[in-house]
Amino acid sequence: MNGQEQKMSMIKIATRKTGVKDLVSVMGSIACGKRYWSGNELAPDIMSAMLLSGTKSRDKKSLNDALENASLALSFSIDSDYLHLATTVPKGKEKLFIEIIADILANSVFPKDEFTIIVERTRAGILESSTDPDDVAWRALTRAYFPKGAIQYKLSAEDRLKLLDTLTLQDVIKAYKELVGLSEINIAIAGDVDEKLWHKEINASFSKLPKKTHKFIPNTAIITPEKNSQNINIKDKTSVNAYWATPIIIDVNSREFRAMKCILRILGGDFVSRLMSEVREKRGLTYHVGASVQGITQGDTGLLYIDATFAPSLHHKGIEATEKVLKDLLDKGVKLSELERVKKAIAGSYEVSLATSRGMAGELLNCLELKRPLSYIEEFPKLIASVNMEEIKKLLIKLKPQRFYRVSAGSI
Amino acid sequence: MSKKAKHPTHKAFAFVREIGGVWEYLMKSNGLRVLISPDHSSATVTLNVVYLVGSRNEAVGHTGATHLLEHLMFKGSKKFNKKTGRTIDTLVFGMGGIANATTWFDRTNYFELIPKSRLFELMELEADRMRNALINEVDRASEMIVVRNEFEGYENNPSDPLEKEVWATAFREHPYHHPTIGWKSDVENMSIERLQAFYNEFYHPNNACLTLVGDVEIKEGLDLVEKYFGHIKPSKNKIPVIYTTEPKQEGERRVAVRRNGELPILMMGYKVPSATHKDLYALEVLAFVLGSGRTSRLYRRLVDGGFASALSVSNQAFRDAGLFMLTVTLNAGIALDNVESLVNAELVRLATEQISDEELARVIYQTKVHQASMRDGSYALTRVLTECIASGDWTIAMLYAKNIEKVSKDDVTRVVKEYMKSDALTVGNFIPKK
Repeated sequence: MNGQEQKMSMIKIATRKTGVKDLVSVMGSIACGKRYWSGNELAPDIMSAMLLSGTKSRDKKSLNDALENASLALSFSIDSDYLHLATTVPKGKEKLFIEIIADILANSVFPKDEFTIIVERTRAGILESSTDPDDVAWRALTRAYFPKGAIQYKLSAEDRLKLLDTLTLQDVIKAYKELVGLSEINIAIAGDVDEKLWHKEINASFSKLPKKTHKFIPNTAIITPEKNSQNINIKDKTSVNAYWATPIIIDVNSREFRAMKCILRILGGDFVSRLMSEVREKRGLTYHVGASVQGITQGDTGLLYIDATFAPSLHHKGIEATEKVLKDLLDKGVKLSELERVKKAIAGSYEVSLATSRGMAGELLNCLELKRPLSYIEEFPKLIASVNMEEIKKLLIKLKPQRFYRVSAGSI
Repeated sequence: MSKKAKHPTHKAFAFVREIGGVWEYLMKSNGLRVLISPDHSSATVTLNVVYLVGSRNEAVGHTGATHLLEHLMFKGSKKFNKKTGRTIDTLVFGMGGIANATTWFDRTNYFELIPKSRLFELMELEADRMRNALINEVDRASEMIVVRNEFEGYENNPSDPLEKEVWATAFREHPYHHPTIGWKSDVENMSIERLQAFYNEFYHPNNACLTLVGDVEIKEGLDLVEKYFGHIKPSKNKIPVIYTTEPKQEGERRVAVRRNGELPILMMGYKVPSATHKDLYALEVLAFVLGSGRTSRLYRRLVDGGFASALSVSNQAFRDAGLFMLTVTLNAGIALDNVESLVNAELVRLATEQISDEELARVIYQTKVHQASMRDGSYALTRVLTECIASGDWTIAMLYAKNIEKVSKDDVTRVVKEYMKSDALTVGNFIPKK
């Protein structure tokens, strides 16, 4: 995944029948995320929020009436890589849904008054998040590790408000014209699905979209934080949110990735993980503590992180307890019995996650985006079962010398 | 509606009824109600035990008892504890399904969405902790801090303290007055003896309903329930009855929360009848027309109008009287009284003009689709059944779409006139303090 590649125009469709009757879950992604945009950073967000504001042939009211009269609760969101869409489509509404999506992707309009309203709504969202300890801590963490302008770098609320003040409608229209079209399009459909119908209608409607080719360059650059930690004070908050993170690059289709999944599960992936057992169950210091990874799927440097909440009075003790669990893991490794447990648990969670059409659609979409064969869905339990202690040790040796920078936010 | 024919019989159970593919039985020996709904679309099953005890059953001094007890129910039972080498946490959370417990006004539920092959183990556990939970002081002391941190986490969001104030103001005598998580000082100081007494009062088969949805046949499910729950005796004492009713509200009530924050929030709660009242469905349609989706009246007026950034409207009907709640997060610089006037104007319009055919047709169609989506995996139906069991009639879940279809435009006008009165209103304002 390293280096540069072209996100070419192509439509990939994956379907699966599940037990539900008379509806399907649809999840889609279009490779036109923020990394392909060099203008005002908020323009893609506002563009995505305006995609239900009307098209050349449907004004906003008739567009939303058409969608909701057909029980199509459509939503769009955009991240660094993709414009995402997700909804449930009742039987008989497939053609209408596909036709509307294609219309939105090709013919959206961006009325001035609508722009003004969505800018104000976005301002409200930014203001609200400016006192949310979780959001504040996470954004500060990304700014500690990544250079300004990097796709992983999350601006502060203040900086986003400044950008919002300079954003113009022309920026938004330009983002739509430059980004949205027939680039790599992934569509996953699961449920009571008529496979032929979906393929036929998608290919007929989407192939007419204007072709777009985006240059893809993963960002692997990081900066080294000067200190080991940072506390951010927010008034009147009853709980502190804390994050610890270290940078990681990992191929999501590798054995190493699956070893990492096992390590994360042992560390903080469920209620019987080490962090939950020690920090919550044994010491009663938190309601939530967990471990996960973010931002690794496209070959970028991501963050392997721990997150926790503490009462302000227990913040210090919570930090100590959490860091001790982490240190023990890196110093002493894991037991074979722990590995065997989490391999079964991960396989069990995977099986359960596929038991709804939405869960299945989500996993189909993962396969499309991560270039995995659809047979991965059947193979996954075996792939996880094959993770061995050597792979775990190797990854822990790689992680051990790395620093886990901490950011806490709240009334500290 | 009930079908007495063709139901599988079982010596340990009396058949009650079947509606919409859900089969109800009553265990003859101890009064445990059992709902089974086979769905073989995947090899998973959701086991769920609902106890008819929630914060409704608490009073001052032990508010939050139900929720704290829910946490303690994971600490151990006679067969499942550290000494036996089979702990509840490892069994429930270690196998990789989805498992948890939740508490609300009228109920506490323990559920596990798991591969079918593990069902018997969870049955054994749920049966054991129904009467043999180990509830001790050491666990209470540490879990109290965990629960307090949960409380503190919710309080970080400005809408949480405001919602608590609105309910506490709207309900003065009825226990919906206090939040399910409890008042902080009660959570901190509640004695282990009180929690043990609470457990012994309410955790009995005759105060519970077990649901099994997923890859299980009816006879197979009943056999398992009999095997693991059949020996449990019903409570010796009568399950305590809540007799407190909220007196009629005789005037508008107002409450404000001033705290550090950025955006004002408006909450308006109108008293509405219980979930089993005939007007439930008309009120649900009203909530839909007012606040569901981008085509709803208040979304178009307030969000599209540039006054608000977020909106929700819900008919919060419970076992006893509830609140029809409207919550609006305002855009920066917008005045609360301005938005309240706009909401009131829309309610006046709804009291004087019928909703449109298109609006009613949209609600009916979306409800049908929602009903179909309840059959998407075993957990969705379990979740809806849980709330309906708690409110006193599980069949609401299965007959919902049919009953929504019977609502007329006149019904909606009538419930607006009957319930959206200023005398039955409680208004809450979150006022950001810099």
